[in-house]
Amino acid sequence: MMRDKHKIPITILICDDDEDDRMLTRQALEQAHISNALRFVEDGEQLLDYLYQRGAYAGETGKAPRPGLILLDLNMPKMGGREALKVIKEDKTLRDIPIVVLTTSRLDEDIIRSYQLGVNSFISKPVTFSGLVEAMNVLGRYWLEIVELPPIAA
Amino acid sequence: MPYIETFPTTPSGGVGGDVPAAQRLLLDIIDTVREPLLVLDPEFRITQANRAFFRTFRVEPQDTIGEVLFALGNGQWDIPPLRKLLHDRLPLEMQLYDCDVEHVFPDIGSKTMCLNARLVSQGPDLPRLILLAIEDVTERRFTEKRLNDQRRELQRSNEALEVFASVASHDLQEPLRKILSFGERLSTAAGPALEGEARQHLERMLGAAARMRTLINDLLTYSQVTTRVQPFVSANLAVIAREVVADLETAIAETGGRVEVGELPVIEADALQMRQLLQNLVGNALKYRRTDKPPVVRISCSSPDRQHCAITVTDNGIGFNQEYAEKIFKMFERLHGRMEYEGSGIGLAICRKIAERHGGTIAATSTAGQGATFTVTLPVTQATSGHVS
Repeated sequence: MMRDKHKIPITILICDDDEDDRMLTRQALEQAHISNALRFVEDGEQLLDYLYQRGAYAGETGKAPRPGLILLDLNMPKMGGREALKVIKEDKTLRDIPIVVLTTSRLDEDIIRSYQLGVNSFISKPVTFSGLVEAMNVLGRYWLEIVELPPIAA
Repeated sequence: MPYIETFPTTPSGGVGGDVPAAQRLLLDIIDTVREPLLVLDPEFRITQANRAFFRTFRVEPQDTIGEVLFALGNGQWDIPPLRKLLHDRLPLEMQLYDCDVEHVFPDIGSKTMCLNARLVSQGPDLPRLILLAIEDVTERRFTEKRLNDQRRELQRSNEALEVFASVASHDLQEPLRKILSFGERLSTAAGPALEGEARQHLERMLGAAARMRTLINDLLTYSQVTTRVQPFVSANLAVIAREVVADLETAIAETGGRVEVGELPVIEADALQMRQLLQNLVGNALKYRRTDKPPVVRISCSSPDRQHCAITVTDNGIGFNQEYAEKIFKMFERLHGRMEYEGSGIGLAICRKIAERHGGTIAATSTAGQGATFTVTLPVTQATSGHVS
């Protein structure tokens, strides 16, 4: 059966410990005319709490709607992106959520490790804001328009 | 043939009266060498000792000759490692080479002795003698150790510096990216509304931040010359030079100039770094061009000897006074104001570091206004694979 992919716009979950970066990512997504619902978490632990709807996210689903795409920073306090990525990709209830690493790192080992852990894309944060808007534009077009994502259970 | 023990000895340990000429010569040789030398019988009794031995270990011939080595000087020579060498190893191995033995002597203090020993057979039915050469290497070993320590310390501090440069430039990038990003936002949102001077301030601030980005990136590149390396491979410099020229095509076209690539060899090198090196040199040649004529840059090569190639990048640009020929390779050194020529002042420092990593050198010659020639001399082959140890 064909799905109408525009029917339920997905929620984008952004995991970044840096307040400035959360702001810049939000504004870049806005500028790229991506109007999906955005949710923010600040480290790997919060990300997992969100996904498992526990801790601060316990209770009704409305608090933490299942994201259709996760933008994940790597270097964060408490639990970093690598660790969170590993947990998510090992959990069969979560591993179908596409994850895009969005980090300042350009290290080969970070890129290789992330893909080994099952990340779907790896983006090095552009240095300028216009670069970030451009990246969000492409990312939006790809993940929200071109790609077929797994249906999210209501 | 009589054996050595039976020879009468003089008080100095030298040889006395009725000795056959050949034996006498041998014993005189022993006595003359600068290195302390002992001849021991199978029971480790000293039958012969030379002047160097008496002098070095401050003992008298009359207390030495005839004594068992290990009992010498009230047991000063009863050194377990020495016993082990002479008792256990020598009979098996027949000879010992350069075995260091450290010992603290009551009279002369701590000594490091480098021992060479040999079992000498004198004939089928005769007991075997032990020749024992004892070199005092205390000072040498001390110096060696000190040099080694210094080398290790230097290596450690060099590595620490590399790590510092790398970490510092990584961590500096983070806040800088914010300054640039928010600055750009501010400029887009509020720029048009800002009055003349205020607008200029914002532009100058963003200009400074952009220069800092160049600086940090170059610093990172500099530190990565030795930390992030590719192995030495067979690198075709002609191909690399043509790629560099292709990369700079737009810049070359803008200046109306040209870059000529002469015959270049294939050498063992880090290909990426060779590219970086040529890119910097050709880039500089184009940058420091004269305003009155288009730049002509020539890359060529000569062979000063079989093991080396000298790659030259010559231009017809503004050149520089020869007195600055060394200074320009130093980090952050600039001969021109930033307003005249952009840049971080790290490019040539990177070139030098690359040349040095390959066991080569880089030098420049110029006369102000007359163009410049940069010469990179590199070994054709490398002894190592180029990986960081």
